[in-house]
Amino acid sequence: MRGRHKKSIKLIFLLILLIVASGLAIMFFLSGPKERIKVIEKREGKIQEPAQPERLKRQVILYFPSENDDWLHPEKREIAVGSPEIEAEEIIQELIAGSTQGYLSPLPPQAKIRQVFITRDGTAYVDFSRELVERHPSGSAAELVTIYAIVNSLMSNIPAIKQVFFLVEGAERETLSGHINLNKPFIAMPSLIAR
Amino acid sequence: MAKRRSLPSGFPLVKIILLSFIIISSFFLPSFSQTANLVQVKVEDKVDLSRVIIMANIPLEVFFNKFGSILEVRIKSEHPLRFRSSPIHSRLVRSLGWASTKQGNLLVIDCSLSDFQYESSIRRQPFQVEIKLKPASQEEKIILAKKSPDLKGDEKILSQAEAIGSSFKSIDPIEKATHKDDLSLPAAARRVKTIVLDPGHGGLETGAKGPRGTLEKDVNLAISLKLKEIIERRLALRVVLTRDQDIDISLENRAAVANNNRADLFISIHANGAFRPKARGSETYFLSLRASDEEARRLAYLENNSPEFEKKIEEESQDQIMMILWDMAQSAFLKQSSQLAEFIQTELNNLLETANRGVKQAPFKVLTGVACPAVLVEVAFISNPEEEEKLRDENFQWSVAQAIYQGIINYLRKLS
Repeated sequence: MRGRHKKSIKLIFLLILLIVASGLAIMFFLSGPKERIKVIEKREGKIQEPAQPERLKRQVILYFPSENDDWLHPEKREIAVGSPEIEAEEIIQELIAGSTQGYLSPLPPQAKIRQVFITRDGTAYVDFSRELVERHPSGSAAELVTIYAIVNSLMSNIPAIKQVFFLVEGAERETLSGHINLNKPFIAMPSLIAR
Repeated sequence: MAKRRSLPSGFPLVKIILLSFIIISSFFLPSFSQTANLVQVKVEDKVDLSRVIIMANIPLEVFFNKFGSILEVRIKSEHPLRFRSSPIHSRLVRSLGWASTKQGNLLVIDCSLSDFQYESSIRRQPFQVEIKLKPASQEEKIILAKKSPDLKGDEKILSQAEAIGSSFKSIDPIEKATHKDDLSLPAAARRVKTIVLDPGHGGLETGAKGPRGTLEKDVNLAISLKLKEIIERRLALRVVLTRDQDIDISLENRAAVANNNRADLFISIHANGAFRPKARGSETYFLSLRASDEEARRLAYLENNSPEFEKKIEEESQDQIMMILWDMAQSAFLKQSSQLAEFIQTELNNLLETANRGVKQAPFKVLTGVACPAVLVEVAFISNPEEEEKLRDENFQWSVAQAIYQGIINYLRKLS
């Protein structure tokens, strides 16, 4: 009798343990995602807070080529205010992202801007990833469009830039695809802009 | 034993007979194919036109090219062609010339009028090309009508050595090139002795690519070779190509070819590529110096002292300093380069009927180091499907070469 009683107590104890353990397990799995969501919400809150006292934006004019003529066409954009280097990078990123008004892209979409560095005398060194060259359609007209869409967009919006020098993967390059000389800096060509 | 000995002694004899048979028959083979491919040319006069009829027993590819009073018919065939013509009694056709080279065959129809029009039609079987020649202007029609059939016009041109009394003459395009246009050039133009042509890109560097896959490098070379041929035939000038095959050549070496050959003119030939597929027409560029202040100063100095600068190049051509000078060599010749560009562009505008595109200035790498008047011609847009088709067409390539040639001649005529 005793032995049986002991056995049944043991069984009940085990059962309770099992129920508690499974209950804990269910609670753990169910509550897991909720907590994670909370953490993310908290983080987002933290990020937004310093931006709340309004990150300054300003309007810039970008230049895009068109399907129908040889001119560069202006298009307005808002970019975050920053140092000339950061603004220059953002302008180039917007050019790569392409037009919102149906103009053509002046750069291959795969190209990336690696860095912009502006020297004290106002030379902006703009360093692109190799896709700028590898994915470029080639041809004199296409090279001129790429170069002057960038140079005109940079120089008409950032007064600190007096001339633009192109780099690819951190190094000087002779040409984009065999035509226009990249060993020398460029200045804006307002005569290419549509009126 | 005896059998074994007889074999080696008999074998060489069989071998010799066989070999000699092969050798002898191989001598006859080309002549067999030659007799098979005969081109016959006939000239007939009608009331207001002359007809030139080319007949052949195999289909041929023909291309036309007009220079002043001459109509060239370029005939392509894999085998050599033999030429035969009946005596010519025509008011319009003065003589026929025939030349056969490895590149092809050339029939030269020399007309007694400088201003004539032609129409051609081709029949496949049997192969026959009919060319109708007509005077272009009303005045010439009258002059022609007054001429009696057996009298040949313009005696002064005929008096040249190349114009032989007989109606048929054989010419070699290279050795006995006519060099007719030399006579109309001023004395100053005779200082121009060497033209360097630069077919853009080559080798792994293909340049722009057409929607059908036509490569810029191939078109550039095809046009340059044609232009070289035209210049050499019409002018007593040396023409040097920076490349005559599909190979890589650096941009600096192209300028070096020009400078080492003492080029008097440099013409780089390209086909254009744009982002927008509709872009069309031709453009002629000369160098723009992107002006940092230092460069503007150098340019001002060079413009004021260009005669000295030219002399320096002659004297110190072997020097290391040359390489530094070459970097800005073109800046001394910008004015002449712009004039040459203007003359070439005018001709190309007429050809492609695109007056909206003109002479442009851009910092082309290949032009920077060239120490003579230098231009870069963008013949047409290979990125435009219509113009890509044109660029593939040999007839169009010949007309482009002819237009650029005319531009060069007009530039040389204005030299003083």
